[in-house]
Parts: sequence; structure tokens; C-alpha cells
Amino acid sequence: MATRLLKRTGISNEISDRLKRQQIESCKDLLSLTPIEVMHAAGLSYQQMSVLLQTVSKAVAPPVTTALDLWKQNSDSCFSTSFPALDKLLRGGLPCRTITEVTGPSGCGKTQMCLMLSVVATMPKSEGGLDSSVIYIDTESAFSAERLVEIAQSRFPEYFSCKERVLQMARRVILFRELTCDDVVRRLERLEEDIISTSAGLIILDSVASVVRKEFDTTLPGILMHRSNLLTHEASILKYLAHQFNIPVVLTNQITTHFGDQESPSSAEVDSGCVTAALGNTWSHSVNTRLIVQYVNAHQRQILIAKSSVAPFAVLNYTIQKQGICIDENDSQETLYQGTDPGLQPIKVRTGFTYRPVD
Amino acid sequence: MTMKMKMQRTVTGLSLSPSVKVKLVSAGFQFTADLLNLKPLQLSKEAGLSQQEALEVLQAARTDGDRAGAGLTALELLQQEDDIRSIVTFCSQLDTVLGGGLPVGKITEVCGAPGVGKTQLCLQLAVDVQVPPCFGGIGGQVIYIDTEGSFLVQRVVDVATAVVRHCSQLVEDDEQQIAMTAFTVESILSNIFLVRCHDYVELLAELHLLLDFLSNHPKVRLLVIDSVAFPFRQFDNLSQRSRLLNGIAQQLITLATKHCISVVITNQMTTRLRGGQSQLVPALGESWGHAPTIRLHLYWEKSQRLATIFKSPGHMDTTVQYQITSDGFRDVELAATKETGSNCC
Amino acid sequence: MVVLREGMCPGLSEDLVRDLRAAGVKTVEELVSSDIEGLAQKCSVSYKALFAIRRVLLAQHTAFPVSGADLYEELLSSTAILSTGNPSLDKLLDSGLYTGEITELSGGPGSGKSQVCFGVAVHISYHLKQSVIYIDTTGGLTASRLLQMLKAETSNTEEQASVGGGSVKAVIVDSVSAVISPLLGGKQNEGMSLMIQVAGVLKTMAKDFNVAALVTNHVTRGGNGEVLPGLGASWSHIPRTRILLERVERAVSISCSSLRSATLIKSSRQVQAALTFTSSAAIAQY
Repeated sequence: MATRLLKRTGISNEISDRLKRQQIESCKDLLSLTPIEVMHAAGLSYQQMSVLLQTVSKAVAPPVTTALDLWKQNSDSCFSTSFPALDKLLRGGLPCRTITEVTGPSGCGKTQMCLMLSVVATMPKSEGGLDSSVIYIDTESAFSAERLVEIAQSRFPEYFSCKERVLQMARRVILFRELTCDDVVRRLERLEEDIISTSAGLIILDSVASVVRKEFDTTLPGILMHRSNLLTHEASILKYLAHQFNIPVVLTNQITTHFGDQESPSSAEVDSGCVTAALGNTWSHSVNTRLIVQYVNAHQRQILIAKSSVAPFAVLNYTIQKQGICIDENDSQETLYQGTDPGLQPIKVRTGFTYRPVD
Repeated sequence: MTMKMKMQRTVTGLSLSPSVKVKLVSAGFQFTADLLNLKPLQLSKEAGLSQQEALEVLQAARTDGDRAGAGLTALELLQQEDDIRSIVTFCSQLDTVLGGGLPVGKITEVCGAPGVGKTQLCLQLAVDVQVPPCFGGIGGQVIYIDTEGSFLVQRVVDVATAVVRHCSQLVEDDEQQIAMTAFTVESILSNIFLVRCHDYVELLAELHLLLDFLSNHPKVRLLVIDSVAFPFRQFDNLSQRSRLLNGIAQQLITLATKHCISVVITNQMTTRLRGGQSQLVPALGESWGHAPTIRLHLYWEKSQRLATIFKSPGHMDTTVQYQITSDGFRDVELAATKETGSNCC
Repeated sequence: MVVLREGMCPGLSEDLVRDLRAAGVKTVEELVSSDIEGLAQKCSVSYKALFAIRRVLLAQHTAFPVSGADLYEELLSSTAILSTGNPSLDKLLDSGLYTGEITELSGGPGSGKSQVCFGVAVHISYHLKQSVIYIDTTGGLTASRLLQMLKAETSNTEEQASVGGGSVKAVIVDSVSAVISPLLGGKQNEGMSLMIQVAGVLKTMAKDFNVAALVTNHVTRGGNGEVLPGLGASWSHIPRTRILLERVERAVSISCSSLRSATLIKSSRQVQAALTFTSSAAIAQY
């Protein structure tokens, strides 16, 4: 919308030619100027300049709706995760038009979660899915097609009993491998076409942190701002796509150690600083929902809902099995925890490795 | 005895296009008094202007004196202020400290860390502004400009249901009974005008059109922009960003005072490195800090949520504690005694 | 550049203006600096008449030198010094706000500029019984706060109602940067020229009407991170006296410190100095 050319907004040709000579061609160029700069560039008086700005603004501004219209349209605006306990807490599932982030230490199950959500998304609505394709952008080369099939067949054995359905599901997961920041940004900027051509219903980016942390060394001055700008740019593209196509976006993030004056609650276990979600404060603002996965012990893990507009601070226990993430349904009363700033919520990592000798 | 020059209106102070002003000045016209007795054709010949331009100049010179608004005395302003009510936040401690709630006709900024409750407060205010006057509210509509995509309708429905329930428990007389029939969750949703802006250009365009929108919808009493920081955090050219933000600030001040609405803006926090130490400060720079009249800073203290009034010409700096429940933005003590709903993110 | 017009002075008729224009003399400057004899011949007018016209025009449009003694006498008779209500702030300002001059208060958000302006307005209207014009561009003027300050001075409601009444002695503009900074920058100079015009109007008004002008300004960060008043170097020459207000940051938390510091950064009378003060229900005190 913002890049719309001034010629086509209904202003007079004379004015648009005058502006073009000063390299002001699109609505974005014109609206980025202050009123007095516009008066200078277009040679207009104050009243005429106001009229010009009104005309251009009408061409760019988004439509005004009411909350009631929104409510009536979206009877099913959530993507069910296929875990009833999690869905209940999130009031239906992962909300569409927003970004959900899954963050946590390595090996905890973030990629498993992404694979599982991909399978669910391809299933028909009668089974609780979205009946659509999935766009999977992989930056860590962690995607494994065999694991995808294994999860599908183990978790939904009745549905994926015949091979035809498995193949159809696999066909609907479209994988893009992007290994640098620039590649990721370029892919996101072109994603609109891919979404339309494949009629995608879910976008997964696994992971957003790995490429960024490889390329930006934040100990150097000025780099922090560049990294924030890049991440905000990526977030706004994803939010735009999510909103326009009414689909959910899922991303994964990593962890970092936060050295500060924060005492962690279980200070006996952590030696120095505490572990929190990576990518900083600005990124914590940009995601709409944050799910943290963390370790309890070698087998038991937990999902914490750390940031959500609708859900309370809740904890769910799970393990990783053949069918991917397995949330203990019998332990159905969700425990709540004392939450805090989602950017500073301490995350428990794997503290030790136990080796069981092979008999 | 020194010569005192009579104060006269200069030609360069008129709101004309710069090229026209240049021509007038080089033709020797300094004050509007010089222009008053001229006819358009004569002016166009002398100054080298087109006939249309000459006519505009003369019209501008004649109506110049009428543009300045008449002033108010402080007494009149006080009476006006007494008539206007504030918007309650439903957190009674915060309302008391603010002198009744968020003031109408002023700009309030809510800044804070992620997840602390800025959007929740905005959603609460969007419902609270609609409470009918017989219950102590304003009964106005709201425009909600969402730049982050955090407006979730289910949440608004929760908050609205809680407010409707609260009001129906307070009904005492017939007038309030009648008001309750019109005050339902659906009517609340229909009075929230929603605009989703994806980048700063759309936001600027929408602000330009707001004046007209407000003239067509005189019942609007609240404008929420959630958040103003997100679209402006990708800027590389910081001086252009400051200029645009200053322009937005002035537009919002004009909207707030002319149309008597309350403007609530949310802002993010950013890390500022000062001499090796990093500090969290409100985003968008120093010059943006002058735009809002009142600044509310929401922050986490371990697992408690606190709200501080950071800047206000009418109130002292104070801190109160609040929480977010399933019903919305509330006091801490109230929820402990009522025990409705659980602690929300 | 003032264009010659008929009726500007006795003797300057429409025909004469036309003849002068034909001879290439269009403005007063050109007339005054040209050769009178030759011009008189070209326009077929007497030398004496043209000379008389030149004398009158010179008297109308030139500035006259004034002796320092006369200037001092005039200053003593017409300048008044208005107390701000804070004895220490007055000391910083060399006993108060001088009429005929512009004083600037700059500071970051929440540093107390509006509070000081309210205090000055209340003090002048209550103690000095003069009127104040308060031009508010930020929407921060709250009459109830003024009333609160007034109540701290006197609890007698009759006295409260009878404040002001005299002639206007002070014009307070809060803030001048809010409306001017959106105009500066970019590829044009009109914004700068508008700023200088505003400054010119303020100065002339202060001088001609014997009022004290108090303006507030925002701050920006300089190259080394130090805090500077806004609006740039061109504006810095306009006010006679400049004070920088800052919040005194205590410890780590940003939240509430009601201690502020005021530093004199430009004055034609005083050496640099500083003081601290707090805001309270009444006018700022220490």
C-alpha cells in the first residue's frame, strides 16, 4: 500500500510531475516528509498542501472496521495444536494473525513441535487441522522428512494408515532452506507469492535466532541496533502476511545467558547469571505469544506460557516420544507459576548427562 | 526618544507557498498593510505572479487576522475541566492516584517491558470509555489503531463481559436499568473502531484522516495507538524519524484538545548503552518524551506488576501495584478478596 | 527593500512615482543612494523637492544612534524585574525575569519546565497582581494544577478569585520547540526562517510592550552524549538567558525522583551557576 505511486492516487498531474522531478514518486516518499517540506517541494500554500495530504492519505490508509465485525467474521480464528490441555489454556489454540514463538534450550523439543504442528496443519478440518499447506523455512538444516512421517504415523495412526495420505501430507509441507540473514529476509519478502500459489495455512520459521546470532556480534558498538532493526523488519513482514492471509506464524528461538542483577529463584543450580530467551528485549516485544520449553530432568520437560494476551502463566509437563511431544493428559489440572517479564523469565537447562550402560 | 515600530503583520508570516513569498518579498512587499489596497491585476504585474496566485495572496492577507483563536482565562479553563470526566481504569488505586482516571483532552503514554500489560490496559480502557454516564462513565466510542497485531477479539469479549456484569450488579434506579439494556457486549464491540496499520506510512496516513473521521463521529472519546514504537523501530535515518515523530506529536495534541478526546499511546522499552552499562528506557528517543502529557511506566518487580506515574504536570510521581486477571486490568487487593479468575500473563 | 509608493510622504505623488520608476528607481534604497541632481533633471522635478522627499524618507526608515547614557536611562525607567517566586531561582536569574528580554528554560521530559512556568504565572498574578498570557502548545496546561498552587499561597477564596487584573507583564510560551521542531530539517529552509520570524516577533513584543518573555525548549543529546537545549545553534542566540533543568537521577531505578537541578548555561550578566529544587503541591521550593 505504501509503495503505491502518487500518479494513481487522484492528485493532479501537474503536482505529481513536479514531485517526480524531486524524486518523490510513491506515497511513502510523500508522507515521509514534514508538511513544510511538502509545501516546498510541491510549491503549494498551506491549505492546498493539506488537501494534497488528505488525498494521498485516503489512498494509503487501511480500512476502518469495528470489533463487532471482526468477532462475527472469525468464528474459528485459532489453530488447534492437537493438545487439549494447551488449547484450553490458549482459548482455542495458536491465534491466527499473530506470531507465536517457541524458545528453549537445544534438544528440548522445539523442532519436534514444529514438525508436529506441520502434520496437524495438513490434516482436514474434521480431524482438527487446517487442511492446507505449510511453508517451513529451515535455517538450521534440522528438518527431517523421515521424522515427519514417523510423527504422523505414530501420533495419528488411524488417519495415516494408508500410504496415500502420508504422501499427500508430505507433499503439502513445502521446505525452504535459508542459511544466511539476507536469504531469510529475501525469502520473507517474496513469501506472498508462495503463500498464494500453495494456499498455505501455516508459516514456520525454524529458527529465527541461529542465522542472526551467527552474523551479528553484539559486543561491537552499533551492531545491536542493526540487529534489532533487522529483527523488527522480519517481524513486521511476518505480521503483515499473517494478517492479510489470516494464518498463524510459528517461530523458534534460542537461549542466552543474562548477566544482571537478577537473582534466579533456584540459585543453587545455576552458577552465574541466568538463562533466558535470546534476541533481546525488542524481540520480546515483537512476538505476540511466547512458549518456553525447558528441562525438569533428563526425561521430563515442561512448556511454560510466558507471554500471551489470553492465557495465564501456566505450566504443562511433557516428554518426547516416538509420536513427538507427548503432554501428560492425566495431569490435567494446569499448574500456574509466578510469571515475570517474558524476556527475563529464567529457563532451566540440562544440567547433567546420565549415561546408562548398554546391556 | 527611541522610535517604536508599530507591530505589523509581515508577508512572510502568511500561509502561502514559498515561491510566492519569495516573489512578493523581492518585489518589495514587507507587511500585509502594503497589500491591503491593491487589486489583483496590479499585484500580479508588480510581483510577477499569476492572476490566480495574486488573488490567493490578497485573500490570505485579508483573512489573516481572523485565524488566531481567542484566548481563554484560567478561570474559564478551570470550569471546562470540571465538566470533563476522566476514563476509569478499573484499578481503583491507579484511578485515585490519577485523580479519577485517565484525563480527557490529554495524551497519556503507557510504556513498559513486554508482557507487562500495556495492551491489556488499552483493551480495558477501550471498554471503560463506553460505560454509560449514569454509572460514572463517559459513554463514548473509541478508535483503536493496532500496529502490532495484538488486538484479540476474544480478550475484548472477556473484558467487556466482566464490565457489563460489574455494572449490572450496581443497578439501583430506572435510569440505570434502561442504560443497561443498551450496554451489552455486542454494543461494546460495535463502538470500537479498529484500524490495523502495518507500517509507519499507513499510520501517518491514518492520522491525517483522523480529523475528518472525528468530525463525522462526534461520540468518539478515546484514541488508542498500540503501539507507536513498533513501526518506527526499523528506521535508519534517526533525524527523519525524530521529525516525523514530532509531527505526529503535534497532530495528536491538536486532536486531543480540539475534539476533547483522550489519546493513549503505548511505547516499548529499549536498551540504552551508557558507558558500558545497559539501561532500559522508553523507546523512540528523547524528543518523543515531550509529546505525551502524562507518562505511565509499567514494569516488573520480580513477579509483581507496578505502575508509576513518571511525568505529569498535574500529579505527583507515585507507584501503585496492579494485576491482570481474566477479567482485565485490576487492583491487587480486590482480586485477592474476590478470587474471581486466575492470574493472567 | 521598501517599494516607493505615492502617499508615503508629502510630495510623493503618483506621477512622480511613475517617473522615478521609469528612471529605474523603484525602492527607497535606490532613491536614497542615487544622484539627486541627475534624477531631478530626468523626472522634471525641482531639486529642492526631491531633496526634501529624500530627507523625509531617510528619517522614516533609518535607525538613529543612541548614546549609551540615554539607553541606560531608558532601561532604568522602563524595565521591570519580575520575581519567579523562588528566591534561589531568582538569584540564578540575577533577581528575576527581566522585561524586554527572552528567558529560556530547557529540559528533558518530566524535568519540571511546565511546573516552573505555572509557578511563575501564579506568582505574577497573585503577588504582583499583573496579568499573564500563557501560550500552551503541548496541551499540558491544567487549570486545576494552577488552582492547587494558588491554594498553597492563600486559602482565602476571595483573594483567589481576584488575582491578576493589571496590565500584561509576562508572556509564557510552553513550549516553543513543540511547534517549531517539526519544521526544521530536511531539504528546505522555510522552517528555519519561520523560527527566526517567531523569534523576531517575540523580541519586538518584549521590547515594545515591556513584557518578560519566558519560553521552554526541549533537549537533545550532543556528540559526546551531553545534554544540550534543542532547536540548534541559530536559536541559541535568541534568548538572553538560558537555564537547563534536569532530573537528579538517584540509584538505578528510573522511577520517581522529585529532585531537579537548574543550571544557568547562558547569561549576559551572571557567571555559570546551579541549584537544586523539588516540586511539591505548592510552587517549587527547596
